[in-house]
Amino acid sequence: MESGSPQDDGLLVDPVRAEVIHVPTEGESGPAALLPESVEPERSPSPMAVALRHPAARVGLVVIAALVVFSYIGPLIWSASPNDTDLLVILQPPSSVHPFGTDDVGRDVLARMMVGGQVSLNIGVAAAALGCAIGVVYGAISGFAGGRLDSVMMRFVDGMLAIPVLVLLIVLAAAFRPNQLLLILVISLTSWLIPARLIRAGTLSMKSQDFIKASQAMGSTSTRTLRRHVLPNSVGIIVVNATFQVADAILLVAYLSFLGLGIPPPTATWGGIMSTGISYINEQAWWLIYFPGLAILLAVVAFNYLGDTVRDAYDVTAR
Amino acid sequence: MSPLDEMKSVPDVSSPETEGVLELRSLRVTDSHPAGARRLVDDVSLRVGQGEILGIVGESGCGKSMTAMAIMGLLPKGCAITSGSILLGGRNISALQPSEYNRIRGKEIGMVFQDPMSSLDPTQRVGLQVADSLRVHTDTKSRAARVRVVETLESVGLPEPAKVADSYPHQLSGGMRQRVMVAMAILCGPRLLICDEPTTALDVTVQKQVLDLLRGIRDSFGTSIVLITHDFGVMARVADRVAVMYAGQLVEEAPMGDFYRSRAHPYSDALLRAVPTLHGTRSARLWAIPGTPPTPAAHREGCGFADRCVNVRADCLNAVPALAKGPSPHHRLRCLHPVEPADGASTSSTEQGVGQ
Amino acid sequence: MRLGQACVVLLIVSVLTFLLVRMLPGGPVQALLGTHNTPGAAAALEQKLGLDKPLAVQFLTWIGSLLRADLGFSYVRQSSVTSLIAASLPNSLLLGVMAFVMALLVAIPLGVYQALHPNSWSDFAATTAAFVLYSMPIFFIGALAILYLSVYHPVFPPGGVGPAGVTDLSWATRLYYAFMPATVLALVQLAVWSRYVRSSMLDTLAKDYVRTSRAQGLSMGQTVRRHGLRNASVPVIQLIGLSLPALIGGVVVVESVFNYPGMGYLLWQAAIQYDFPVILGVTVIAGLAVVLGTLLADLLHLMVDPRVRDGIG
Repeated sequence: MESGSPQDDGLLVDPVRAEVIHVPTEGESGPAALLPESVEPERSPSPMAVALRHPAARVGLVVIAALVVFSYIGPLIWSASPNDTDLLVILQPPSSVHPFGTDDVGRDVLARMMVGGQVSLNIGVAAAALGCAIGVVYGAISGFAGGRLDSVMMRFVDGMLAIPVLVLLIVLAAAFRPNQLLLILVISLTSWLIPARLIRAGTLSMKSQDFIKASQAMGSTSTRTLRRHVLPNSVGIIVVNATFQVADAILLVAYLSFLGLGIPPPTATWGGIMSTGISYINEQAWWLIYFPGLAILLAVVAFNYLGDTVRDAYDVTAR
Repeated sequence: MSPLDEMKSVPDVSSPETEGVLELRSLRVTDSHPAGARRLVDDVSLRVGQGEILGIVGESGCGKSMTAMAIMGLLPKGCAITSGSILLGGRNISALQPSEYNRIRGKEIGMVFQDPMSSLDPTQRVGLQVADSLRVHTDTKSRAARVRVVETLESVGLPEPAKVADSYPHQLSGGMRQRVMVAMAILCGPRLLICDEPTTALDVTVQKQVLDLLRGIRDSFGTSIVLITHDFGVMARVADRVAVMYAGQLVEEAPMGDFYRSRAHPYSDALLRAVPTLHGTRSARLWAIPGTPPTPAAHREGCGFADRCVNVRADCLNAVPALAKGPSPHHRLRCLHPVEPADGASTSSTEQGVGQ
Repeated sequence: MRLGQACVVLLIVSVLTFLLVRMLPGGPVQALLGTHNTPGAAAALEQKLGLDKPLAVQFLTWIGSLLRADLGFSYVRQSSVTSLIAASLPNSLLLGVMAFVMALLVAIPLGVYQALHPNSWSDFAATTAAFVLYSMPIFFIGALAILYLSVYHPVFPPGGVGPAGVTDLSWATRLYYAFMPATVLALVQLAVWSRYVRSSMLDTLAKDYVRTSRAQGLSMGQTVRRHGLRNASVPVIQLIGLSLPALIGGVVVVESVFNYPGMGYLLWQAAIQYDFPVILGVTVIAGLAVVLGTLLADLLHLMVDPRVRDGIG
């Protein structure tokens, strides 16, 4: 559950685990076949498939699916506009007309929650994906290069990890007035660090395996080794970590919008609705606090839980 | 000097009539395996006399260490004594409350573990750790405790004991650490010392020193010692009596001399024959018996050793043989088809093998 | 080695802030002055930043002013950044230290208890609670706290460091006002830290020296106190040192929720008002805080583990 913590990293660098998740590909059967049996990694069912068959992982998936339906399909069914103000019905508690109530300028909170969900999911998923992509490239370069360059690149990652993410984001958000695309870029700038470490570790452990040495001796290039061995081998770890990154990104988006530094108004965000709720907390506008709060909580728990259960499923298959 | 010669110098204190310091009565330890509680220690009865050194020998997983931990009252989570009893000086300790057991451990029973590297807390000075036993069992003041600790460290042959007491474990060699462990175990003058593979992690030369130390402790204080090992060389050097365990059961038990002359269980015989005779291969694994010991089971149909045994017959598979009187006095044996008394050749090879 | 890493962090932070100023839309002078852009002020600032000199010199000038604790001037607030920070820092320190202590006071006993009863019903419940707390947005907990403990039941003040208009605050008042924000901050941290303590203590309890201690006759409780806590603290200290950046992020959010005038609140207000001198100053201080925290964690580690002192492990 401590996504982004160094603890995950240490766990995943575990050589046993790194070996277990290796899925050999057909292309390398030649050199591998020349080596003793013990060197050739075993073929096991895809851990992702195992994990997704796991009932606990399904719970996370179902919640995420529900959020997707709510955010993207919801607006098709719920026709109220998220941005139409109606000063006659400001700060109304939930009713049949406005099931989630209205905000300080009479906008329908349900409709705004749906739009806010889109923002959170778009940015969360895209930033995590982009961050992982950056991390893969960076980690692979670092791992394959080795030596001096590797240690400099990794010191940089350590240094970046020590910088408070939120402070960095606030600085960047103040400097460049964000839109969705910019927020994705900015958040991915903070979410590539752990994937980079993971891929580097995967690269290093692959490099030390005899059949890779053999295939490299036979002229295989680093890119090929990366594509054929390191990536298939690390895809599981990366996917697990990506779900944690999505959870973190959703939280970060919420914090930034809450601070008024995210997507500029009038676009609805969960953090923005919450911010209004706190402004009108003396009016006891609980619906402006509970709905966005629970939505963020649900989304973050769902992604963290999915990652956790998939990771546990790895551990089980590892045994 | 052959081990047999060495044994002659030891008084025979192993007669069953001696008042037992430790007595196990049909001890059974089971775990909580989901497929049914498995017997890790199965119906083990043993007696250790005053000042006697009993060696328990067997492959790993045969229940030796589990027996030791049962005596210490420190069975791992999920494991428990399900029947039988443990008597210390005639008092049944197997049913004691945890707090009462704390008063026995370290005071009446001391224990020395296998790996002196990991058995000491790396963050604390050795002297303070050793003194813990005194601190919990007596109301010795810290200055007096310190004096006592340094004395004890000296008595186990540590040079500069005061300096050792102020050291951290990583500053000491393996042999020194094991001496510290022994000092810790004997600090409160226990009547029973349990040594679980005390020399396995040590260099050969240091092994001898530690074994001599253990025997010295027995000689000076009359401490009874249970020595658990998989190494017959270790056993031969110090033990007065041998108990062989296999698959959680006691399969043979005899005074050391009798055991060498007339061991009768095929497993015991195989153990001794497996001791290499060439000096160069001494460090290699001792065991060369084909197959592996059975995994613990809830229930066993026949003799546990049957599928590895050279003497196996049809009836071995039907019933677990009872522990009966063996070929010599004070000799117990659990076997339907024992081997013939060992021939001279194998005995002499054994002596060469274990005497190094 | 860690000292080197600390230098890397400081270097990254200073380079980043330096470059950021140069990259700001409209150029550094325009961005730093904001609406207070008069020709005179612009010329003076240009002179101070040395914009006519090469970039390397500009960087050294920037480092030089940092070393002199000169963090620039906030034209929005009409005050030196250093004095603004000096006014906010004590409040944040109080909040941070309070949250830190509260989180540890709960996380350690909780984690130890869980480690002593692994997979029990209570362990499962605590794990689940920690999981949910960890995923909980801080402002949600903060909002619920205000809603229930200030609005519905006025037990604690909803924000600030003290009653409006009062400048000479007693310690009791400060603690009273800091209690709710600190608790919120502590809740999130303790969710993570209790996990650290639990897993570290579980590892420690499986160690051979714990068995040795039990064989000496110490009870489980005595053994935990004598050997468990100290050894389990080694990885926990490092992990807590590493979670400082997250704690600082939490401070920003909590101070914004409770309008608590600390460094995080200062940063937030500055960000909304595009008050870049303040933003940069706070960022530098935050980087410094992380570095100091990490060094402190290393120092503690050194004190706890004698092997590190002798250069082993």
